[in-house]
Amino acid sequence: MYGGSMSGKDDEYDYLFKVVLIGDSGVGKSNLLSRFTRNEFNLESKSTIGVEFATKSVEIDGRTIKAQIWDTAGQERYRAITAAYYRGAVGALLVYDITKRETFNNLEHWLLELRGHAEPDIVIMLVGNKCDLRHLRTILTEDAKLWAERHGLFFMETSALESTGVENAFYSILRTIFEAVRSHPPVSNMDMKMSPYPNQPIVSPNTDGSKSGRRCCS
Amino acid sequence: MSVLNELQNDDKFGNSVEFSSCKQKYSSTLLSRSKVSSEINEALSLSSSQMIIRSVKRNVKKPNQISGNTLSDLNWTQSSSSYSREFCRLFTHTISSKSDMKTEIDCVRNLINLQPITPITNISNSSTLFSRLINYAIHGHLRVCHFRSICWRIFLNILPNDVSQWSKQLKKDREYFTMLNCRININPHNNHIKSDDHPLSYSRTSLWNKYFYSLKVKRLIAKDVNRTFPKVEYFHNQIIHNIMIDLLYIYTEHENISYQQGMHEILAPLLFVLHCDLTAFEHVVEMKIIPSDLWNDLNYIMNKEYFQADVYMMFAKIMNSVKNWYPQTKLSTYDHDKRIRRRTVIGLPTAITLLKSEANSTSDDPEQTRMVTNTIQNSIDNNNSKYFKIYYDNNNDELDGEDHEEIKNDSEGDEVIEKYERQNEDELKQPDCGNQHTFHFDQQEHSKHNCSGDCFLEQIHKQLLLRHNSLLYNHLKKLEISPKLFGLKWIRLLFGHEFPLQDLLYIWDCIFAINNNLAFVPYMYLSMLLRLAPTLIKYEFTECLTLLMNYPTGIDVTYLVYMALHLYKPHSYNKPSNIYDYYSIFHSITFGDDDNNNNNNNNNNNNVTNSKTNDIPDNTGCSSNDNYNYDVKTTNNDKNDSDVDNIDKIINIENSYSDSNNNVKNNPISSLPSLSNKLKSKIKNARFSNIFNSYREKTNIDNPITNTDIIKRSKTFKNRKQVMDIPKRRSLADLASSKKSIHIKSNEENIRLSDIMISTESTNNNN
Repeated sequence: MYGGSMSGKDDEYDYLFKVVLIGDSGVGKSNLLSRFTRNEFNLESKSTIGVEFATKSVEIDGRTIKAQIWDTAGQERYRAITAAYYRGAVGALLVYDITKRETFNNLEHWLLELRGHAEPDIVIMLVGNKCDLRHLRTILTEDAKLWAERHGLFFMETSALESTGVENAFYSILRTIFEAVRSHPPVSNMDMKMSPYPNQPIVSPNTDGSKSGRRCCS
Repeated sequence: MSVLNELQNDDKFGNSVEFSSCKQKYSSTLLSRSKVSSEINEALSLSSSQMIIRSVKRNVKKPNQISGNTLSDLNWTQSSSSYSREFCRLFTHTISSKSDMKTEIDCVRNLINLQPITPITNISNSSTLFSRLINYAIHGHLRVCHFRSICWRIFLNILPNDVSQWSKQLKKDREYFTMLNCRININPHNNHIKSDDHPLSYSRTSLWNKYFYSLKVKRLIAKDVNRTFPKVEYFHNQIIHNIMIDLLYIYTEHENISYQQGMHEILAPLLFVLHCDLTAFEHVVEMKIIPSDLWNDLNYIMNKEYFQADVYMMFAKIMNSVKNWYPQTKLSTYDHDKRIRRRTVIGLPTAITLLKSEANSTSDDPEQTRMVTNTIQNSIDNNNSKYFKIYYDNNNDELDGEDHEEIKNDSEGDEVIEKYERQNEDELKQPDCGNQHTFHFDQQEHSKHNCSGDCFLEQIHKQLLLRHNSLLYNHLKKLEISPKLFGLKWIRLLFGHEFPLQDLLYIWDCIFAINNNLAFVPYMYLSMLLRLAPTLIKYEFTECLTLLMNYPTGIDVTYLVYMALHLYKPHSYNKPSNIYDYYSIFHSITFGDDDNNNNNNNNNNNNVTNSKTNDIPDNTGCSSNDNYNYDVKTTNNDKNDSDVDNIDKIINIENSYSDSNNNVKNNPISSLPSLSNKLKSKIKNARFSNIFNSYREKTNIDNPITNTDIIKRSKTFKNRKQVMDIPKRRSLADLASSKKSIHIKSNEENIRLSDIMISTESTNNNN
């Protein structure tokens, strides 16, 4: 259609994974995003209104994976953009603040919303942020771990301020998604689910010969 | 006459020649005006002349400051004139005229013996205060203005256009806010409490219970208030945080909606602007520069004690329009309890009295106390049911006097608030300068969805973006980028996250000035999108959405505002010229290449049935060309040239048709591919001058450009010329096909006539 005028970036990637960040307001979702994608932390950051968006490419087992990280406002209950936000997400980070028990108590609500709007086979990780504030801790690590195991979630504690565990959290969830995709080769329906936008190229893991090759889903 | 008396009284201060000369000038001007002007103008002139005379008095009373010609005196005179003149220039029409300025300057010069000061030039001589302020706002002159908050309140219809009515209106607004603050923002530590109320009470009428609820909501609001404009030092102050929390809480409780993230971003710039104006006023008062008359006028308006009330009135007015773009949340449980509370006000005091009487009669035995408590609970339920019935029947005879008074007090407060709101609604219903809006938001669809912000954005894209740039509209639709992903943030914050604070205030000047119902917002939104259109069309989903969510810095805000004004009223405001148009023309050339390809494909098929399909690309080509606005001159010239060429070629076609049909078919078709091939090769080589020369030799068209020295303009003109060449050749092919169809039809008519003749002959034979 616009073959001559298309001059987009020539970044090669094998997979495109959409990951969403959810949790209460003020737990540090936006700083987790900026720390992972730009390695930045702002003590003075604005409130997220609507949706924020950033991408980063990582290497896992020789494959280039492009992660689309979506961040949203934590205070908005009746969200007009809920459907667009959760559509096509293959991973979710459920974030709470270890210094505020209320944010941990509200995780039940967020988990219900996630089960209601997202795909049933989404990979979910529980993230306890702000672990650098040791003297203000109100949630024990063992209690959070038990809660995560009870609901079938992965668990990790992070500190966006000190950059502790942030890389590990994202790499861990992306690796889990990648292994799930690789262990179960995607069917045509799964292709549509895995890639939220059909125009994005995606490569099935069966083609081991051509590493940098790309083909469309359709 | 009173003015003349005052002038006579001024003689007592001295018989200096300079002052008498000033007096003569004033008397001459007043006499000349009294002959011509009407009563209203006389009143205005009297007030203005009094102001000038009082300023002169003030200068005369302090001769020590005037005697020296040191720098401090120069600063004194300049700063005093700048502040008071700024006020007069903005809000009073009479003094802003040149004659008054000259007389004032001459008077000051004679007193101080200084060089003449250049008078301030007026942007517009319009008589209306409102229209004059609108022009100031659009041209960016409110950026350095010390009365920006007053201008905003005039734009929002909070202050009337008549300056003398400001104090009256402000008094009414401030009393309203004080009542609202006392009613909503409760603190039991300070108030006198009933003897039955205590902090651990679960009663619904308890002030303590309401107080703890407010603390919970304020803690939620504080999370966002602490993150307001982190780069602006003004918002790091805890006092400002407390003011913001209180105002947001009062607004949400009064409007019976829950707080939503983003409301704090609307409130913050209003605080900032009003604080700057109050600080400037305090500075002028401390320096003792301001005339006493102006001080009397502004002291009540610029009073710091009413800071919260003035900010709240602006915030509430703006949120009346913006809150439609926030989700309409349901009532919380506490709000639901409020309604029950009003009903139970009647019943509970008597129940409490019953508790007292029965509690006194109880003994110390534990078993009996349990029995008594059960009976008390049963009696409470029965009594409540009774009083509910009484409340519905409106039988006031059985009530006590105290309860009746309480009901009166509550009802009176509500009635006053309702009256005030009705007055505000009446003001809103009045038409604003008779503006007619092309963009219309259908309210029927509003009821279908919970959040009308989503519908609002969809309609901006369908009604405005599809018309102005269908290419971008289709591109975003193909990529499945929903407007609400980036647009909700833009409109809920009035573009607060997209621009730095100083640029944001200029944008808000224009949004409030053009229409206080914020009708300018969709055009500002469209202008921001069109500015990024050449870049967005090249991008894929990820880059496209990233660019929209993080609007690039460094863009000229004035260009965006002027483009939005052009989109809002194309006849009143010209399109702003900018280098960015140059890039859009290049994009149209690349789009033109696609048209050439389509044209070749169509020409390869010589079938007659394809004549209908030929019409379709012509329409698309025209629509794409309409997206890019060309100069009026070039379009007129092109139209005239095309008409002449069409007439000549029609004659040629008729002549050739009489000779042979094949020539007609082949000549226009064969010529088009060769020309198109030449155009392609030359466009790729980017040698536009050669193409233009060759085209000029063929058609013998004069060069309409007069300034050939400017290379860029000539290039742009030639590029446009080439784009316009393509539709002509298509029209030639269409003309040939239309001529064929006409001749075919004429032959058919001849056949029909012959049939009729045969039928008539047969009828004659029968007879």
